[in-house]
Amino acid sequence: MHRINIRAVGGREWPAGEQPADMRREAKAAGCREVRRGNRLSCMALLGALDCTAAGGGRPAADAAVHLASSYGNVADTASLVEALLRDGQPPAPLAFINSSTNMAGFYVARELGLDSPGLMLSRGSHSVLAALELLGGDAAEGQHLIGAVEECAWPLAAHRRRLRLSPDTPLAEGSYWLWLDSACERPVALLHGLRRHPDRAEVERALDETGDASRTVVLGTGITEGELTLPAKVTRQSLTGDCPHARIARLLVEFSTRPRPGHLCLVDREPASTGYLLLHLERTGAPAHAENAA
Amino acid sequence: MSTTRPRRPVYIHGAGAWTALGRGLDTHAQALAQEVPPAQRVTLDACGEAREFPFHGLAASDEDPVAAVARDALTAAGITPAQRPSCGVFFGSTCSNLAADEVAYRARMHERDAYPLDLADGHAVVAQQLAESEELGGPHFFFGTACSSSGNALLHAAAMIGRGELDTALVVGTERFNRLSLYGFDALELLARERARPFDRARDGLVLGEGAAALVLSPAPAPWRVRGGATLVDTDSPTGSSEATIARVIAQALTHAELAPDDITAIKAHGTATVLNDRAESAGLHQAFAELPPTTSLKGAIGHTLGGCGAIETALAIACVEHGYWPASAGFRHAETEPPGLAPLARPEALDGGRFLMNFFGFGGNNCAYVLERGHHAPH
Amino acid sequence: MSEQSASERELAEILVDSLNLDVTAVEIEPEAPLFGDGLGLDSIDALEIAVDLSRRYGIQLRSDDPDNGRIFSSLRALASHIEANRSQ
Repeated sequence: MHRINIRAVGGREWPAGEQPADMRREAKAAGCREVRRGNRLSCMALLGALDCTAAGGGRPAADAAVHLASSYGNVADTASLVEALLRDGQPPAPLAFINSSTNMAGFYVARELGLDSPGLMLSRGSHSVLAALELLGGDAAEGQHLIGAVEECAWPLAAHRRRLRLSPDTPLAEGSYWLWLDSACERPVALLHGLRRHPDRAEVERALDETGDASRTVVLGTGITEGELTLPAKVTRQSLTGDCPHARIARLLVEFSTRPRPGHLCLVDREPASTGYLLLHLERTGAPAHAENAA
Repeated sequence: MSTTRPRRPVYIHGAGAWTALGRGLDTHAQALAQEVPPAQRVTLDACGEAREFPFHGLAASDEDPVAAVARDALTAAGITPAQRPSCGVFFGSTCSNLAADEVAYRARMHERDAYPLDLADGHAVVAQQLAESEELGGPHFFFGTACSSSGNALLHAAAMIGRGELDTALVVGTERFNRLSLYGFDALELLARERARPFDRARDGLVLGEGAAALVLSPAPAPWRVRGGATLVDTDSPTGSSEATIARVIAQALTHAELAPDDITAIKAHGTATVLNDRAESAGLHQAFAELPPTTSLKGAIGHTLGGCGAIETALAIACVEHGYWPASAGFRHAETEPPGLAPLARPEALDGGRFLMNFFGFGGNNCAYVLERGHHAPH
Repeated sequence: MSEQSASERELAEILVDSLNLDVTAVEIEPEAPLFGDGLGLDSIDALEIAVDLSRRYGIQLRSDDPDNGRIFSSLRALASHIEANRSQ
């Protein structure tokens, strides 16, 4: 993988309350135009994407690709449509059915930003954002790409917790976290040095050693058991945080990239069904996100 | 876009397909050489009154079609145990796991705690299960771009292999019978009354179909090559692509395939048989080609398999060329005159290789086009 | 601006609510076009309205009806079509 410039990051998280928050109102208040027809997930995608592009001090190039990463996409609307049709005998309304397409949130983001570009929706559970980065691979070192991890809840939350196999009192949140990759950007907030698969423990431990920087923060994903890996001495350990389980990795990348001082992040995880280990290596430059990038 | 330009050649090594016409590539090549059977009719009463829909359904079977076509493709490709630990799975579908979930939900929907879509990790579950059962240990991806889902899965698998970041990929596309899709397309008034007639002036909509297909891609030379392609989102409308965008995605696909319009031997159109899709696609193809090569749509024969159609129609096109022909566009009789449409093949056209343009368009403005190449050969 | 009748006001409120319009019901001019330059609605909105009106009033509107140009030409035209054809 070539070095990949992350021009800006942004996004937000919403604690899930008794009732779904009014995302359309929030998106309108934030100046989003594409709110009339989009559903809640689309409005969340718009809010996160605009946070990110605003932090990057400009508009993405017209041919910037939009890759939406989501474990479950439109879970709330799709569940409502299935319940209404099967249990209550109500056929889907046209727009609600259209909006249940997994890629519609990306469509509204592309429309809001005036893009004329490729777009995909990708899913791989809690690793969806890694799937998007892995699929881009070395091509992320050319042109511009917006990658958004957007995850909503479905109400009632009790059912959604059971869907996610969480205990009844687990706090939940919704999230929309975005990365703006821009190969020509002169002052990136972060550099992605690699996202690689290593076939076994020895290989990933060696690769971790080779990242070499003393200021490393190492995060072990949920697929790694405690003590499974021998970590280099003097690393800072950190855990994945946040109440939006499928957006925790995107949240980590965004939060780490916006801290003020330079530093390196290594995320190691295993995936169900996959051989070996995934290792992501991100370097934070310490450059503030600012308008100089706009030129 | 550079994302879709292969840097080393990528080839297709084996495929499996299962649709209303049957299972296996030879079965499809034989069926598509003749008059295809009409769509079945299914009766549903989800909304109080019994409604009849035309539908191209799979024959009942104990086998899971996705697992079956995956095994067929892996066997045909001669995948070795040594290749499996790094083989990726690129899975594209509109319904994801919805078909199975509707069945599960219907069985308990009157219980107080019932809820639909009961999957801990969402859309990727089918790809993950397939990777587990076939011991394919590389990266797995779910692609959700509506009706271009598995077209994009194939194109991006080829891109990743082309860049040298992956050596083997299993590309899978599927669509299974589910009530939400039938009633949803009905609500959009896009369903045909009797049958799909792509590009016919009397067409009145699409007929849904179910099926699955899988293809194995790798950089080892083989008769079929993925030359390259492109994806382009049209933000004008969430449900239909404009002729200008269709012409542009084709032009981009040809550029990435390093080919000119004259190099294209035949075209597999998206051809849904809705009034607006076929009108825009006809106009877009006329813009992209001064003289249109033989063109077909497979949706009159197998129905619209939504997110599965990329892998399914690619596998079927390969099957037909291996048997020495490009298939006729079932259901077509008369071309549109105002505005001028296009006349797809009324009968199969003999050919034994060449370069083939494949179009796939989906809701959310997603347009995907790619070119496959087959060296000339002696037909069976 | 001509005055909205009671049935036009009721329909205007349905349109604003069902289509998430950025105007209030009273601001919809009864004789202004609903589609294109007027309220900027399109064929997807027409389908959405048709489903909503069918549930409320039992009125059947199909996208291939040759009279749609007239029926959907304005709030007034649509309201009078509903009055003449409603079954509930």
